[in-house]
Amino acid sequence: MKNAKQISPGDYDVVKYENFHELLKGIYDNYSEKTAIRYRKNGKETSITYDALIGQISDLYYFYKNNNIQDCNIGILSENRYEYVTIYLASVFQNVIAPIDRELTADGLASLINKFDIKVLFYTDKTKGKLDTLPGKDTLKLINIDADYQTILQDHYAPDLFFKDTEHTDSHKFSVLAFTSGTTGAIKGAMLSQRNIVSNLRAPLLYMHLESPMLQLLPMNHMYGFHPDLLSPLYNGDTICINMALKDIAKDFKYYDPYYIGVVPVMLEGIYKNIIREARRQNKEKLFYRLIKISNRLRKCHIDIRRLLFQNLINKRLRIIVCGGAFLDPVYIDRFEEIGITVLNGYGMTECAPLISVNRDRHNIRGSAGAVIQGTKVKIADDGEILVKGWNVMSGYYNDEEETELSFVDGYYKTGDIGYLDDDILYVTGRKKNLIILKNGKNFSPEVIEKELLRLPYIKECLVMADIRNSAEIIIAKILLDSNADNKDNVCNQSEVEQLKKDMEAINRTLPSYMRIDDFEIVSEEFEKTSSKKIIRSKYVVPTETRFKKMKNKTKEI
Amino acid sequence: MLNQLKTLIKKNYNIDDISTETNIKTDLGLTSFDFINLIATIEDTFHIEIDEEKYHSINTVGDLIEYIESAKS
Repeated sequence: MKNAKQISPGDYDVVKYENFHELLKGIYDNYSEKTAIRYRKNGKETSITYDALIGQISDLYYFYKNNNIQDCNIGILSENRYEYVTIYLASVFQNVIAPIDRELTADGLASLINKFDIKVLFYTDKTKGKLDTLPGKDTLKLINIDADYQTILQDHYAPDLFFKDTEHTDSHKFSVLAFTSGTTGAIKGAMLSQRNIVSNLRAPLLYMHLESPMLQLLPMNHMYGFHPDLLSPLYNGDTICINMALKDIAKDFKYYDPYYIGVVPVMLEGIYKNIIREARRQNKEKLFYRLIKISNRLRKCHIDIRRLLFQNLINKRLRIIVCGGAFLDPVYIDRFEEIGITVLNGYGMTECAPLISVNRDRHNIRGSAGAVIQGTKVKIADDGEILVKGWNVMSGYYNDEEETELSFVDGYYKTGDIGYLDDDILYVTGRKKNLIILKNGKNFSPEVIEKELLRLPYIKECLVMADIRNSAEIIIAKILLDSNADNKDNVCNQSEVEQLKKDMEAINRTLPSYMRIDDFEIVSEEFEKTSSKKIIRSKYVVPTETRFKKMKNKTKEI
Repeated sequence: MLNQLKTLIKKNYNIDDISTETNIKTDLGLTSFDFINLIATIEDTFHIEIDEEKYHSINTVGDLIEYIESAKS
């Protein structure tokens, strides 16, 4: 077995745990000596074994018990750090853990604490500024991780005792309160059980080959950043390296040399742009593209020299990037494939703990959201909406029966996304509320066309919508040209407009007739956006009902 | 300082035409990820540390120069 590659158990089979007790006991029994977490602070590295990790979870569990903290909603408002993991896992047994977004304003935090009955709040030196004006602070038990964490862990308890005490954990117990901003903008709390989560941690490990270490980059308060991106590798006995600040990402890549990472699309684009930037800085941009061309040609003849050529572009070991959280342009899957890195796209929802489907390294289908995970059933409604049922789906929203009722149909959770299934592979095409419904009953997601338009290098932003002109229903595209973005006088570059006409004709040829763009309008200002940088579509789009009414009136006039 | 920053931005992002009034977040066409990267490059070049909590108050190239100068002294 000399020189045999270390392969994660996920390569063959993944043990099935039903709840956090089984999971923690399993990793304690199997990996106790292995390194669970590594992080660097002020240039000094700390590594924590699985043994030590479970030890701290057990100590925290008894801290709660001894201080009568029971059946409480425990909030955590913290930057990424390893204590997030121990606090989270210790809280799920007798209490409920509620990871809170650090970006929340002080007012937002106050109303969240009130609305969701948070009784204990973990915070840090970095987040304490938000608590200054917090009303009703005296009824809240506040714990500063920086100042108090070590103190509350002073008394040690043997993990065996902890495992005995948690033996009868109910897998269906409501354990995690996951916040999500719904379509109405009000924050909702999805109630997740241990089984929801633990089954969801196992799912992405099946049929996957993963090697340690992984570099953890996403915010831990997000379900995607914490469950598949952090707890899944722990389930697998892998080593996680925590990136403490995003600005250190390049240094961390070199230092930890991760085998895989999880990202959101904007990070993926950023990483690729960095590669090009670095090549340009070294005057090797042309060489880089030439090598890709050669390597692509050789790959067609089944000769793979990508490792040889591009191994050290980011770091040495990186092979897999999992990408989710927003729409991913499949072009990036190709760009990374060319340099020997597999990008696996997935799809999920906070309400589904969060994973619904994901691609695997050996079965990566470009443009899809991957195979639906084990234990989950996806059904497509008549109107194209993706419906989900199974081990991963929440029981409902916290104290909000009305919203809960609205989000389920026949026991299926309504994702609000439109998509289709092809042989158990899920494709997500757009948001339901953005769907363009035409008078003739045909409908489609404008995102499909916008995606094509945005690929044109001179287009900065665009919106596709239906409107009425001379009583006829037309599809128009509102476009902000890159060259026009800062140009207050709105003087269009005529050659660009000519080019746009040509490109649009080409795009139209690929579309079914009812989706074709009839006309375009050049706008001079950026579209208004939400705080998460998504265009507020409702500001620009004529609602379907208004459009239909307008058409009726026109018909009368004629 | 301005010239140093100009060279750094030109080298990394291939953008000319930079003044103290240039807004880093909106005028340079950088994504939030690019911005974080720029911060990292600046930290390495000037051997300073930029506090994460200060990111939102750094908007123009002028703000950045002011921050770097105060951090250096």
